[in-house]
Amino acid sequence: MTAVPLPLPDLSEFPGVTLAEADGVPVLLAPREGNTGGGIIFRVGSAHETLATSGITHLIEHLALRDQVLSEAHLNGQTRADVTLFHVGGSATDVVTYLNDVCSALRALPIDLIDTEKDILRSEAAGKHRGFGARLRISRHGARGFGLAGYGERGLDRITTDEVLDWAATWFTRENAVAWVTADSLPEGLDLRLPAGERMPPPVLTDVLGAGPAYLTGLEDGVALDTVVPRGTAAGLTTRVLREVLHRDLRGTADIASTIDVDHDFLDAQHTRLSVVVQGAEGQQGAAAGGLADALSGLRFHVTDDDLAAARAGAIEELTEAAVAPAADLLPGLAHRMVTGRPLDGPERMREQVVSVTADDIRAVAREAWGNALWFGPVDMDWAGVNPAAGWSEQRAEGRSFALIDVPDISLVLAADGVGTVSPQGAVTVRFEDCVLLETVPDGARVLTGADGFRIVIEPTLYSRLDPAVVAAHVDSRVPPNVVVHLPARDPDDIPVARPPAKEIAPRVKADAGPRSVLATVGLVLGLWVAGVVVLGGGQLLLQEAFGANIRLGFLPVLALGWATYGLIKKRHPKEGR
Amino acid sequence: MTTDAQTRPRELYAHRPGRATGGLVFRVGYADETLPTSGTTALVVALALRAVERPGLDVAASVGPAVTEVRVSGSDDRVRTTLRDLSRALADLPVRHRGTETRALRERAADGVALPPWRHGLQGYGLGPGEYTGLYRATDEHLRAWARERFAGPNAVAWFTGETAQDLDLPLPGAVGPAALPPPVHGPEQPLPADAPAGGARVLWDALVPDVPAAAVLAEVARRALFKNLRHDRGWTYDVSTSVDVLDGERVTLQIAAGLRPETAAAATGEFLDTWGRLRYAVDADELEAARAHLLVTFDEPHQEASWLPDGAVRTLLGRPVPTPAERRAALAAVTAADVVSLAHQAWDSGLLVAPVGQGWAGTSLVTRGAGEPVSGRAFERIDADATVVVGDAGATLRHGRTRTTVRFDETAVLLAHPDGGRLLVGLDGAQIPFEPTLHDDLGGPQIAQLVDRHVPDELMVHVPREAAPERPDKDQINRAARARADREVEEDGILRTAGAAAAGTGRAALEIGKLLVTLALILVLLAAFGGTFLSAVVVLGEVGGLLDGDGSWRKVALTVAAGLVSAGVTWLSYRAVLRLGGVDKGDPKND
Repeated sequence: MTAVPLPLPDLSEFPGVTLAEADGVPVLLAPREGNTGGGIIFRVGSAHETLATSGITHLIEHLALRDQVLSEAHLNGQTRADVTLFHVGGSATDVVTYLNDVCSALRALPIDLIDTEKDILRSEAAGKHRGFGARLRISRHGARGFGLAGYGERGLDRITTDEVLDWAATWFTRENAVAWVTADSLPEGLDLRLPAGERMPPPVLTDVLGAGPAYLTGLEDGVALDTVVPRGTAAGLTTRVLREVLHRDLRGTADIASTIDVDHDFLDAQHTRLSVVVQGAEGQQGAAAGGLADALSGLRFHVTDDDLAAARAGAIEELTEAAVAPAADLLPGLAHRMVTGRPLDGPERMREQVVSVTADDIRAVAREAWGNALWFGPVDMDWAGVNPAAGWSEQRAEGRSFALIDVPDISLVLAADGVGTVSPQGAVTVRFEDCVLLETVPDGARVLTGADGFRIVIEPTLYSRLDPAVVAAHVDSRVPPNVVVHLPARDPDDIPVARPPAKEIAPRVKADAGPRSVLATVGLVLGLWVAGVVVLGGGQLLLQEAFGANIRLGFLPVLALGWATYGLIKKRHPKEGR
Repeated sequence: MTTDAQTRPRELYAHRPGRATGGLVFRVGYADETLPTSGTTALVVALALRAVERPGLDVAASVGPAVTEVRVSGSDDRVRTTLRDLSRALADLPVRHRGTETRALRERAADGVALPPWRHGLQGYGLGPGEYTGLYRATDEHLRAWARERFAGPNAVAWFTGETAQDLDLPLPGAVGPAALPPPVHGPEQPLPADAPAGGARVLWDALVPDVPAAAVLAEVARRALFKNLRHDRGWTYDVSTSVDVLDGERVTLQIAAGLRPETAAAATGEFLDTWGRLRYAVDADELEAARAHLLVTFDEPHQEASWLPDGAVRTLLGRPVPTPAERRAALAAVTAADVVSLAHQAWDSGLLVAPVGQGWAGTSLVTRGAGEPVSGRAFERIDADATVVVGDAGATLRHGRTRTTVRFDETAVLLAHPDGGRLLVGLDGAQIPFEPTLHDDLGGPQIAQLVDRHVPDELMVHVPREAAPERPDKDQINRAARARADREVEEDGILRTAGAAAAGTGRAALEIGKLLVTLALILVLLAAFGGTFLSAVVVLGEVGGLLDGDGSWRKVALTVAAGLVSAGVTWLSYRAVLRLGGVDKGDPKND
């Protein structure tokens, strides 16, 4: 057995909890009445992946549980953004068998079952709907790190067996794990042998949002807010204060919100995500957005004593519960904190921290929250001094251009260093070197996703004079091969068809586009009358002079000219045009 | 005021250290409602919860078929004050937020799959979960009265688990009568198992079985078998789930479900039925023991009394014996494979299958609705489809194509009335017959009121606002419907009817030819009259020119003008006549 290379954590603030070590894996211990619980947690989550490998951690979690899922114990596994955990409840033997099996499977994954497990993951994905949260994640983090939660497990169709084995050997290591068993000593027969490795850092906290608060529009039901604040007790208390204010302003005294959710979760040693979702009551969606903006904006300047006291009381109530809870109940949470490198403060110290947070601290967090906010609501938020989130790339692709048949204003550009679409409103570009995923189908369509979350969808059938082979030749070779997903052929009905502007409309558009100014019409009418008088009057005179014939036309010429005038005006200014 | 004895609910307590939990259980559920009062219980609970809510409060409520539960956890004090305030709110229900809470209920219900109506019809146990039609009709007074009557002390049981017993203060409304018994269950009247097209993306088997310990074992055996076959070995599903829920105390609803994915939906449905159906013939000792061991794990947890307390409260309310944890454990341990097989048989024979793809998977046929004897009365053809509505004194029958749906007035669940005159007659079995003025040429709003409304008692009428009536079909659709009708009649009624139709057709053809001839004649008249008018105009203009030159005749002008005017009149009249006969419509009269 090797020694645990990391400094031993100080568990003195958690009486009853002891730390042991099995095969190089730290194991937290505390006895429990009734069944035995146990688990193991790894510092690897979906946010450690790339878009091209997304799903690989979840796949390994499933493979590791393959033999255990049918056991009699109560067990589960979970892949989160920042960690992967396996846990079980049952007899002491159940726990040992479970942990041994999981570790044994992680050492030698049942790779012949990868395809079945990929299918199960696809079934799991079929029942999930990525909602507005996905858009918030991608808009803030792009297509990396925590932004990956906004995509499905898109790597499943390309992840190879070698990559799976490699990923397991790199991330599911003894140095990157913490286990726990609710017993007073290490149970007999525990075998947690895992490959050697190192404790991994938190996922990279990417940010494509830029400075200042920004908003997205199009959320119909209410408003969602995603912001990043400094980690600490003040962040947790600010969450509680905001909850108090929102409940009072949007539900207590008014009828604006039908649900209010305020939450915060740990991102890394310095950062906490604070998220708020307010569902508006009928017809009050705009008011809900305004109410949330007012509440957060107000907290930057003023925090009432009552709200702060209520927030503290809530936090202390929870800490009191934790303080009297059996030590064994704290083990999963402690393991999570250990493996993610967070301080192991006991309830007593945390209570001191809660009490020491002042209104100033809350205001400081509220200022950070406001400054980093990403809003997603029904309408724009310029009134609150918030800018629209970037909808266009900074760079514009330059190269061969192909017009979109449906809307010729928009065109696809194949440039030497990337691809892009250009429209009169702006451009979206994905550079090949920033491309984190290229999805291909046999019919020639391509989807490129950039690290910043921008996507270019190339459907060759939708662009004029664009040969699918040209796209493939231009794109496929320039993108790193390890980000390419080859998807199966599509149902022919799923291939989009261009709908060019309808033919019968085209000529009319052309006619309408002709000169239709009133001035020109007046000129034409004048010309008509002059010509009429000259031809008719002159003709009559000529006849009289030359042949002596006297023809009586009376008002007829005038009438004819009048009719011609009417016809001319009607033709040049048709009813719908006037 | 009533005395304490009449208002206090029974109270149960069990010791468990740590976070306290407490709850109130009431003997009222959606099965106590009728369709025109449906949703009342859920709205009363929502309004009462709204009165006690505060940030971070951990409270949950559910309205079941016969029992409504509220559960709260937190500090002793928090639990006690929440239950007290909740009781107060129920005794004097605040209705200020009725609009918002009603909409919130509807929103939450929108994506559920409503299976109970397919088993029990739109009455009693079929009105669950998410059936809120009655909220269109509910008044503040009705809600408050329902709260006072159904959430009364004797109709409730309170429970509490914590470090020490609490002196609960529960000022619930006073009793107006004895505690209510669960409403009777309306038995399904069709052969089972049957297909219920309730929707959703899962394959689901729903069964009604006696409340016996073997039910939980069967559910776990089925879950494990399906998990292994469908998920573990084949990857066709991710989420296999089973549930056992109290219905009326004597029976439970057993549900077995698996999520599907489009590519393998059909294969997975077949495998689902094979795997589950097999259990009614054989359950291996191994699978029984694995399921039993899994269920028994929870009995090794500490504080068993506290864990079973909420279930005990429900059983107490429903007048069922409450077993001790040890008795429950012993009962599970005593379940045999034969018990499970026999229960699986009952579950199969009382089953409703919801399959997103295909029909008749298990030799089953669709649940029938509106299959009663068709009524006689006045018939109104629909213009949008080959359908006819017959309304008589006994009820109404909708013939759509070849299917007939009948709702008798004395078996009406509800009559939905829209402000635009549209009506929807809904039978207790869930059959629906629409009356829409826009879909008939000969059935207007007043007529519907006369034919339908007067047969339905006021309390079954629910006024439902809607943005727009169905659109009147366009000409193409009307013609298609007429053709479909004619085709079906020829097919259905054979040569006799066909001969009659032919005779009628000949008559119609003769009429058409006559019309055509008259039209042609009129067109000639039109041309002549137009020519006359034009000629007169030319002559008049020429003559006027002549007059100015000094050699015209006023008499000639006057005569020509008169002749021109007469010709113009004839032109106009013949033009209108041609339009009429030629059938050139000048658009529909815009709804008068």
